[in-house]
Amino acid sequence: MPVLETIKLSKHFAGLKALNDVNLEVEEGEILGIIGPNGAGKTTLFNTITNIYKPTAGEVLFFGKPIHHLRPFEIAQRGIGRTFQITRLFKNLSVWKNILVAYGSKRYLSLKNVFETYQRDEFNQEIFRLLHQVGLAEYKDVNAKYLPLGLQKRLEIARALALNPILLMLDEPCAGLGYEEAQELVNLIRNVRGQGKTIMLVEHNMPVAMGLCDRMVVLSFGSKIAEGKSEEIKSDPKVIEAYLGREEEIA
Amino acid sequence: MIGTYHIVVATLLGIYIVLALSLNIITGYTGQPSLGHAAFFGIGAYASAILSTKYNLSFWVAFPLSGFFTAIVGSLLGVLSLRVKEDFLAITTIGINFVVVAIFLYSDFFGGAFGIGEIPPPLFLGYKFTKFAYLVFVSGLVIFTIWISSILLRSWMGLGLEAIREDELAAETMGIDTKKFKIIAFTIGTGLAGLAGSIYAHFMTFISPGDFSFPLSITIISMVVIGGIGTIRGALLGAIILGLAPEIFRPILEYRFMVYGGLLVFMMRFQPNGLLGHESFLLKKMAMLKRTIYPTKLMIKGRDNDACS
Repeated sequence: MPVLETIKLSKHFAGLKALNDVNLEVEEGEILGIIGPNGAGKTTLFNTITNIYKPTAGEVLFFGKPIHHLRPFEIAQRGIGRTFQITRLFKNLSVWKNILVAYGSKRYLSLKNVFETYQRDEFNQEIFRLLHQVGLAEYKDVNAKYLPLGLQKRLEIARALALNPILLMLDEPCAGLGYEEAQELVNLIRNVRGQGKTIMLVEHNMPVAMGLCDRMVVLSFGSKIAEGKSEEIKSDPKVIEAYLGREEEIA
Repeated sequence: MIGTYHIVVATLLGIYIVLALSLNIITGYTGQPSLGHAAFFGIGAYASAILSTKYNLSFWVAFPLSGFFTAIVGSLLGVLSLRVKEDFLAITTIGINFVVVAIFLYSDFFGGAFGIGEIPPPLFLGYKFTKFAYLVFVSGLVIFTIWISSILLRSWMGLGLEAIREDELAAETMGIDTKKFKIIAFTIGTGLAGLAGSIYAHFMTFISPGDFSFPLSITIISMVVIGGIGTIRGALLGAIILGLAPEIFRPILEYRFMVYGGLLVFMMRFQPNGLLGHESFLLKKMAMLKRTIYPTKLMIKGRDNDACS
């Protein structure tokens, strides 16, 4: 059974078809890339899956169960962690607390647990381990807003990981980063996959996407135009057309 | 010499502290602007006054009931805050303050412009509360409020509220039921203001709509902002400074709001985090001083140095 499945998922904004009947499946343990030119609906797809935008039509299934009627926090509780294209960290909280917020996700559910203190050694140890893994341990007391962009992106991934999600959705993790920072992040993502997480990611940078993804779905003007192994996608005429335009048009 | 005057000032100061700390939960922790906190203070005061004058209930029953009632009204504002956000919420809360005062003013049930008088003092073991007893009681309420505030700050609840303040959408994607959390913050914050209102009504023995008007809301938010928003120590300091100011500067009482306004503008420009807020000038200076006095302590860096007291 696929981890995540969308069936004829559509999102229209006042007549603009930002997503149009998109069907896709994310298999367990894979890295699925969502690519496409600007305005293709990649981020809209992420926001619709996590129900930040209510779908106009269609279904989203997580392990076969519909989740499109759930609120974003419930979707997070089911095991979908995500990051944002433009980082949305808790800027005035320390790196430590940023992780802690996500780490506590199960404790927000019952009114009984929610008033318990978070200052416990067992929590601290786990968070420290995670911070080490992503290379942020030395910045633990720094407020998130003071981190350089590369580390902010890293922290956002770490924060999503602290939810202990089954599916990790990364929205342009390498956007705005230099070559080296992007490479470090690619390594981090590979590492995460190595731990058995399923990953879905939007990426603009084709070489990064090609190197990272097992499979790709190509969106253009809100519709899925191609799907397949990364090597196949590269030579698909429809994809080349979407990115570069039709030959007749150029001529 | 400590006279009745000092006891009265200290009691009112305690009430201000409770108001500042309770608003701090809503605005400081959760980041929901409220410029109508005096309305909830008023609702608590009127509830208690009516319960004890018209229904002859004892203070010990009226006090929790009025806190409870205010919390329910406050939770409705919390529901409203789910739809109306940021600047619009601030303006809405101003409106709520005016509406509540108008209801007190134009309804005979609430005594109209004359307000409600002859509110009986609480009885303790058959004796009427003295001024000193009020001070003790209010001090207890202050300690209770500080206790609630610090429990919140150290709990998952408080962490969730801070996350909502920083980025509501991100908080939601971290599995936090932001709607529920915001309503809880409004309920706790306004409930505490209602308790403050109840004891205020009995302490003054007479209340009128003017006691709970918009300028008081501005004073309360000024306390929180000037002291250091989001921290307990900040709200305490702010309430003490602005609570004592009118007593110390009696000669310039008329210009009080000009001074508050000026202070607010000054703080926003130079110390938006307040005197004792996170990363404030004073705190940095104190930390430097501490380092020069105890150089070795520098090595033991507190992990939760921003969890405040």
